[in-house]
Amino acid sequence: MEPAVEDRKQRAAEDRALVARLAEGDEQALSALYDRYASMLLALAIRVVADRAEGEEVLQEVLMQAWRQAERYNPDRSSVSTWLVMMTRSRAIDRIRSRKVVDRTLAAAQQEESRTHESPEGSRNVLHQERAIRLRSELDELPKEQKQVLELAFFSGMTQREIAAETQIPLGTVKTRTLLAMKKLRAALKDELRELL
Amino acid sequence: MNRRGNEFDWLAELDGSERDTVDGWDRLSESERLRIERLDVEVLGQLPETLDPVEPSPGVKAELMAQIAAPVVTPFPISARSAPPRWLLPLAATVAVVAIGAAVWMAGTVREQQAQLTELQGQIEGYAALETSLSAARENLSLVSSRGVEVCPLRPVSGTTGDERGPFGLLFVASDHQHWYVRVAGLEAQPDRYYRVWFETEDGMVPAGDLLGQELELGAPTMPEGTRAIHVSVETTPNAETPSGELVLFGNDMVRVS
Repeated sequence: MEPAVEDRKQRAAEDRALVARLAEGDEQALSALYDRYASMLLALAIRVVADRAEGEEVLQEVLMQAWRQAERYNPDRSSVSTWLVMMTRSRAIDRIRSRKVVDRTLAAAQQEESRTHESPEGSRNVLHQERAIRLRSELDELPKEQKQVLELAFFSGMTQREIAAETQIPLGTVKTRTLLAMKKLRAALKDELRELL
Repeated sequence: MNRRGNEFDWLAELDGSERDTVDGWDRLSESERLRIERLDVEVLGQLPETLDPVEPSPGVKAELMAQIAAPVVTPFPISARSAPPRWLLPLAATVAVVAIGAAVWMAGTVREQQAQLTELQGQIEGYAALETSLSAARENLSLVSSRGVEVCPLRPVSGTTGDERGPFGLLFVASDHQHWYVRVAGLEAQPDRYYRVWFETEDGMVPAGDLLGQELELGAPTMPEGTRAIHVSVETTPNAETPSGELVLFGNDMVRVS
């Protein structure tokens, strides 16, 4: 088994154990989960809300939600990291929807994407760093139009219909491009994702 | 049907004809579809890893940990019951005694007031009766003192008594020959003796009423037509229709007084 896959499988098992401890009220488990995912979740939150302070508020809310609702986590539905990612995305999108500043968010997100951030967690974990590079590479290999619809849907919280209106392309085409992007990523990541299912 | 949770609602938008075209959805078994959906969720879960990590500010974690460590504040603590303070029992007893005393005092006051009310009610009724009596007396006085009044003395029926101090009476008749008033003396008022007044007419004896009260008097605004004499009998029942008892007084001599 490849080191990256082995590492991911190990991390997934540790994550599940941490969530089980969260459900029992173990504060140290929350601390450990924070150390593992805070930088990634904050990057996601900032990518969506385009504001660092607000992104940190989202981060705190998500980890509080994980603390309170740990017993609701279902490993059959997603990995822990995906569970946290989806909660972060959902809360961040709720914020920008309430602000109704999608346009501003898109512009700011592009700026955010061009910056580089130091991450001690990422620096310590070479495997993780390598994987991030590979994921980025897979994403970059997608046709531009497919990458665009996927990012608008995931990071900007736009519906398929909103994307169609934003990009001036038919709704069916938007869906097809999104599905093609998902299919390619699925194929590219299937080896490491296999261990999670 | 959306088999995913709320966090994954975005994927549900992709279910449709496009899904059939891209993924051959209609040819897949239910388990294969579930596996692809699950893979899609995980693929999306990886996307943030393509972003450069952002280290949170130093205070963020400390704040989070402080939040979860903070005790839950409840507006009304329901923690274990503490023993009641020592002064509580005497205070409760004092309050109870005061309350009972107040209730007794109030009950006595209410009874006293009810008695006063009953007495006042009796007095009012007495005053009303007195007023009625005075009104009748004034009317009778007005009658006996009116101009053109005629008087008829009532004497004992012959043979009933030879005593000069026996019963007697006076019948006063107003000038209209209708309004009349009779008063009798010398007859003893007794529970089972009813002194009945009769006017004698051509058609026979017409009852005028029973003499009332200790004063044994009676009056009325009308008199039977063709009255030529007055009688008083002693009856054993009130309101007799025909005289059945002893006749004790009789009068038929009308004298004009003024």
